[in-house]
Amino acid sequence: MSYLNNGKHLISEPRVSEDASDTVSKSDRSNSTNTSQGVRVPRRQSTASIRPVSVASSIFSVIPFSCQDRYSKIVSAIELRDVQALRELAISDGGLLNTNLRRKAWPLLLNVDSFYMYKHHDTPHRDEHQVDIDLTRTNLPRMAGCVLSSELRKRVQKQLGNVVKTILRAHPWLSYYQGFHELAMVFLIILNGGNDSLRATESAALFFVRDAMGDNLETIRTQLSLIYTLLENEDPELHTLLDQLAIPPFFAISWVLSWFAHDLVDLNDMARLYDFFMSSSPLAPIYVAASLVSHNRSKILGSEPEFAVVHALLVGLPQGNNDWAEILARSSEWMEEYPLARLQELGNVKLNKK
Amino acid sequence: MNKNIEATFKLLFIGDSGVGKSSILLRFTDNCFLPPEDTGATIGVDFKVKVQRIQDKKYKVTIWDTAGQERFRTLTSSYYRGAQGVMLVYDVTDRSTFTELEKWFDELNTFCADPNIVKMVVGNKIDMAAERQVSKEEGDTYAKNHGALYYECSAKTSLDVDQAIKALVSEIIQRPTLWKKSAPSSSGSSNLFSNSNGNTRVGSNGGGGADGEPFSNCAC
Repeated sequence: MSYLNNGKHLISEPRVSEDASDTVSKSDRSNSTNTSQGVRVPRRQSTASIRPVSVASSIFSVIPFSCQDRYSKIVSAIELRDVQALRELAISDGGLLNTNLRRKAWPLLLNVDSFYMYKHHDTPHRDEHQVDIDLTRTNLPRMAGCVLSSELRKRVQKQLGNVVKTILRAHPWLSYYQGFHELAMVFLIILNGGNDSLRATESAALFFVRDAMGDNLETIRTQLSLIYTLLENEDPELHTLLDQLAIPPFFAISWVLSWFAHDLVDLNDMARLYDFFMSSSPLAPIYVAASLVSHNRSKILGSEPEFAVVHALLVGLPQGNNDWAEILARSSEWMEEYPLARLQELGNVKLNKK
Repeated sequence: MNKNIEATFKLLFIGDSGVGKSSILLRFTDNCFLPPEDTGATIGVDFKVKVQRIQDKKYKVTIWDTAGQERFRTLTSSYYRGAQGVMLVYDVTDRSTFTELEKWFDELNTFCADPNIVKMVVGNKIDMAAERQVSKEEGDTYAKNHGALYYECSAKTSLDVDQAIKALVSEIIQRPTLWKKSAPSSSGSSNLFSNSNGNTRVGSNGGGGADGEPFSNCAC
């Protein structure tokens, strides 16, 4: 536990209502009284040496007056465990507002059982070598007012490795892809390490990005083509340009695979998009990608019509000055107007969806 | 200045994950090196451009840097088209990345039909001499057997990075059939990777500097 305490004070933490150490002790208690589920194991057997990270503290922001109403609604939805209301709040303008609320809301949205503990899996996963290569070069997001010491950075990376490997070992049929570690990083930081981070990432792996964790990325390739289908219908001028330049939609692959965590620099922006993605269909990143491209249409249409130039411009779009509220609002509209079945029909593609 | 661009070349960096493809590229275009924790794995394909002066002529060099993980290969393969030069990078301190070159050559031969394309095998990380697992002689012999040029370099210390890329570009210049044609034969979209002279404004994310000068948008 001394390790945990060290970690807590590297960056001052205002108030964490329920950190992972609480979760763990509750889990231990519940484990001793309730063994009927069988999946609960004492903490010492867990692979997850995943402890609070405490680097997200800077985004415990003061709630502006204009958001007070939203704030109360979120608090009330959390208390009532009203997932449908939370989902609507997570999607609509402003999202879940801050880390404190997200820490309580995300596990509900992802249907995470905070008390479930992992069994230890000794057999290493075939992709762990690749995970190790990527971990050392994980770029941590920028958090206002925070400077990460290299010691803390290393600690986060180590915990990230534990999260990713624990999930891979528990589900050996999943394959790791580069970018999954960055997807996991945001859960780790926002949910403050601990069991919730692990379970939330697992939930995302199983129910949101599983298409990327199969034998290959062919399904993702097909999904990416739907970005152009959306543009063709909603922004024909832009679509014509991209089509003429024959730019494949792979510029968006990291957006989709990492929920933009690979591309954004600010943790607040990442968390806002995560609110949206975990409350929507797994294909939501495709709609957001199309919406982001269309949002920057004048920049793209005004650039030199050359493959390399436009490709580079597209790749860098998430880092530009974007009005994410507008981009997400447009994405929501498109998701209503072009539900997946219709989109596939328009794009003349077939995704193997259950 | 741009009117003086002799030709535009397309280079491609391939090789296993973590061998330093992106670091070589960053050293070449921005003359800097980032510690591992400040870099990130390349997901998909990155792109940078730099104007390179060779024998008083200017060439625009566009470099496409690809993800190393195997599952991305089918996606990155669509960027092979129109390349005049390919750099196959391995890590001299990790033999497995050297033996994997065989697969990368297969990949290259599958997706790059032009037999004239200039290939170069590059062993990176020679600054870590104590950990070397592949000798220079072995690398050189391997490259020769595959009809490729050979260089060793260190993106970290910058040793021979520029020289390697210059040698690759010079070899392309020596093979005018690669680039002195009006349109590539195979694809319908003839203007994509051809030698578009003039109008060479670089996109905001392109990161290249003019006249071979290091570009100064680097944080280090």
